[in-house]
Amino acid sequence: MPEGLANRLREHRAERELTQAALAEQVGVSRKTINTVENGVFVPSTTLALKLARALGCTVESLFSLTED
Amino acid sequence: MTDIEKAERMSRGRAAVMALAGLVLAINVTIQYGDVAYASAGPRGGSWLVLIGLWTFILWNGGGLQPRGRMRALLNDELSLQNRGRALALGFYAAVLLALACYVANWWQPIATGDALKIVSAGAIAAALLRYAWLEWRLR
Repeated sequence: MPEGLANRLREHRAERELTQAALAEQVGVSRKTINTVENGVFVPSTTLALKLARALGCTVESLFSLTED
Repeated sequence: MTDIEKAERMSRGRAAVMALAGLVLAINVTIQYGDVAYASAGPRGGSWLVLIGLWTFILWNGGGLQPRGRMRALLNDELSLQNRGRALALGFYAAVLLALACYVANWWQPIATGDALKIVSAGAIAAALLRYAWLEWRLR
């Protein structure tokens, strides 16, 4: 069965009251990249996933998880 | 204006310029088709070399003469690099398909070598530029 990638980036960002632009500034990517990750359009690299987790003070596993389609 | 906002604006501008360049290249090769002056040694024939060389360089480095440091990193972040990779892949397939189309069309209607090479090079670069512009706009 094919697997997809679910993410809780938007929820974690909202919990910390950060805008997409503010989070983008912290991890050093464009706002567009944050937006596309949140919408599941773009799958970030391991490096970016780690940077996002660090900026949001959580683990990568709490941000991203595998789902069965 | 923050770096993120500046990068976003520059990225939109880059996409617009690339879309325009892709259209201009496609129009150029259509208008110049069959005109020997545009494919032979001389200023007009030589201008094609400059045009294709310039846009190949811009596609390769992601926007020509860009700012250095953090702004450059923001403009060429993971998503933009992925978009560029996808655009270059389409450009490659466009080149192969156009070369095949010229090869087959030549069986019935002879195509001058210069024209065929211009069709292939312009088609490949235009396809890559337009694809890149589309991806950047669509995923904004």
